[in-house]
Amino acid sequence: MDVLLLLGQGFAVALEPLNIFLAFVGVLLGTVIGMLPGIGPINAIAILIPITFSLGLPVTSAMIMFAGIYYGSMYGNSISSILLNVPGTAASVVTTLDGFPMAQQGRAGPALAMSAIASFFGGTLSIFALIFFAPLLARWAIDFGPAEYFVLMIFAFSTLSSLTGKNIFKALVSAALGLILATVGLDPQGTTTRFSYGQLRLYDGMDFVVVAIGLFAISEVLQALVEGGDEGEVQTSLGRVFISGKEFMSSLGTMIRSSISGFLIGVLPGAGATIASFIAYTTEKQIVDHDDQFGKGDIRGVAAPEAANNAASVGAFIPMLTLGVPGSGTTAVILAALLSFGVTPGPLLIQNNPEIFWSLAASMYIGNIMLLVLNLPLVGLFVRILLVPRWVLMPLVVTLSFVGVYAVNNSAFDLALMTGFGFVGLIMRKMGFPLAPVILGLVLGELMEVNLRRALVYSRGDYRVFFESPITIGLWVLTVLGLVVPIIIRWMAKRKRRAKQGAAELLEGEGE
Amino acid sequence: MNDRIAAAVLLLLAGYYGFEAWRLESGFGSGVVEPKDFPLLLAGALAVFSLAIMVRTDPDPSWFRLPQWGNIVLLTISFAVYAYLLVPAGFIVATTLETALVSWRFGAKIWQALLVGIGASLVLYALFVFGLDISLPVGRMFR
Repeated sequence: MDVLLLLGQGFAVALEPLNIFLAFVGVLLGTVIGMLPGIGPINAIAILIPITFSLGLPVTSAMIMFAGIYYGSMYGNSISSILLNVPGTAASVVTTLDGFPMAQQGRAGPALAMSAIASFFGGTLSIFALIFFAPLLARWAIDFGPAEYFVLMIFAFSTLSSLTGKNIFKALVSAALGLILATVGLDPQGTTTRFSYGQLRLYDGMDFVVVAIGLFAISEVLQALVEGGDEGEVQTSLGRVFISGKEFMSSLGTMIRSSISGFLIGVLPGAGATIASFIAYTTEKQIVDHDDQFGKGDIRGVAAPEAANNAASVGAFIPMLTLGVPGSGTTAVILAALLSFGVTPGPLLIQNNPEIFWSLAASMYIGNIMLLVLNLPLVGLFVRILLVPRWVLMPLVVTLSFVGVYAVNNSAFDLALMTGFGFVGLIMRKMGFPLAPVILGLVLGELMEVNLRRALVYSRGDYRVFFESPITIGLWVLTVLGLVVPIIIRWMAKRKRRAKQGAAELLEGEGE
Repeated sequence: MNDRIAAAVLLLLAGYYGFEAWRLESGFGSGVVEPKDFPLLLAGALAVFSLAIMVRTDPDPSWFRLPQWGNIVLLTISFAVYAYLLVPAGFIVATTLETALVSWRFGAKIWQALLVGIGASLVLYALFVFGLDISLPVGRMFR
């Protein structure tokens, strides 16, 4: 009963007043940010990294808050999907398909209630799995050598690239650009300064927060400026926010299946909540939708993606914490936060810093209960936030972005650089280059180079070291499959003359 | 066509980056892997992926119209100006102006925008300086 003991200690930490407070702040922020279209967890966490850092928060407390923002946003994102037909983040795109028709039929209350309950279901179920699987995976991964790590990262890039956006090569270019940005500054050996052009601020590398906020928050604001908003009627009268026992039972199987599949997809490096929600929806459509009700306001069509995206957001912590290889934009940002606190995630994290892992897991239970309360009885209050006009919200995002970075770095150059990345991000969005791989590349770049070096030093320059162990070979096979299978699937889907039109378009995977 | 241009730009970037990497001198005790090797690998990867985009292009996106470009350029420049105005003008003045400008471009009336600007700068200043104990520039002109 080692696990129970450790979890008990985790709860002891998670129940400290500061940590309860930060978990609450996290899930509250997460709900609000998830709900507001255009502002996602990536922006929020990136903006908060410098602030938490300068506040001197302990790393465990900061993680509890960041995680709360991530899974909290998976609750909030369905609110605008259901009420406005505009997904709060990419992970709730599919929730609009049945959620919005339900709202139109005057069943917004049950839709919101189902979404909260399914979220809770997926969230809490997968915390059990997290506690069980993470230590196992860490124990297994302890044998990973530098060659295995290098190939594992290539695998993560290939899955992320093949699953985000429509054009796989554009995603790969994005990843390469991120890695290139990571090479700016002193090389990992500390002998040569690269690509700094005499800028002192660049000697220790591109500041991750500057790039992330520029690419995501600033470009998002610029895009919102030109695309115009979806302001207009927001239904604030929700009716009674609850579901009947019958509705719950009819969705129970859907929730269980979607939680399991969502969790497994979340664990995969490279695939996150967006993909999980999409796959859960299409699977449930095949399994339970016998009389073709999906898409017309079927409550199970809300339960499936919401259980799945919450489960995936918890599962996504596994590769990030145990391998140090994040699977999505948001976990990449959280990884960057860990690194800036001087904690290196990897197989040794659970061994060396058990308090981080176990308190995080414990806080997730607490956070999910808070979220259930926030999203069931109090959802009527939250909905009013959707009434805040964009001319209040967007300037605030800009100002917070700039102040957060300035308060820590005290550098006008960083702010100008951030502006530049904002503009580049806007162009990239327009041209269909996904942004999440850039972030992943920037975070993993140094690690990748270090492992490449170590592997080759070990083998005295023999490149066969990357193809020798069963693990590397297995990862290469998975990498090739990951790149080829989606292309074949898309090709077959095209031949079916768009039987499921727009299926590929749903896979944007950006705001996650 | 857009993708072809993008691919050409990316190819140039890959070439430039590769060239700069190739020129890198390794420090003392160069080993099996030198500081330029990983960048060279990346330059190669970027070049290959750019070529693939050149071959397999997507349809062009619908580009911003001229007034939209105007807004984008205005805000982008204002962000950069704000960055360098923070220290001389001080946080409160600079932030009020910047926030009001953004708010105005997002459709607020002038008085609403000013209100948002003043409110945001005062609240954030209080929050950071008194609440979080993080110092913000007071402004050279107030000294």
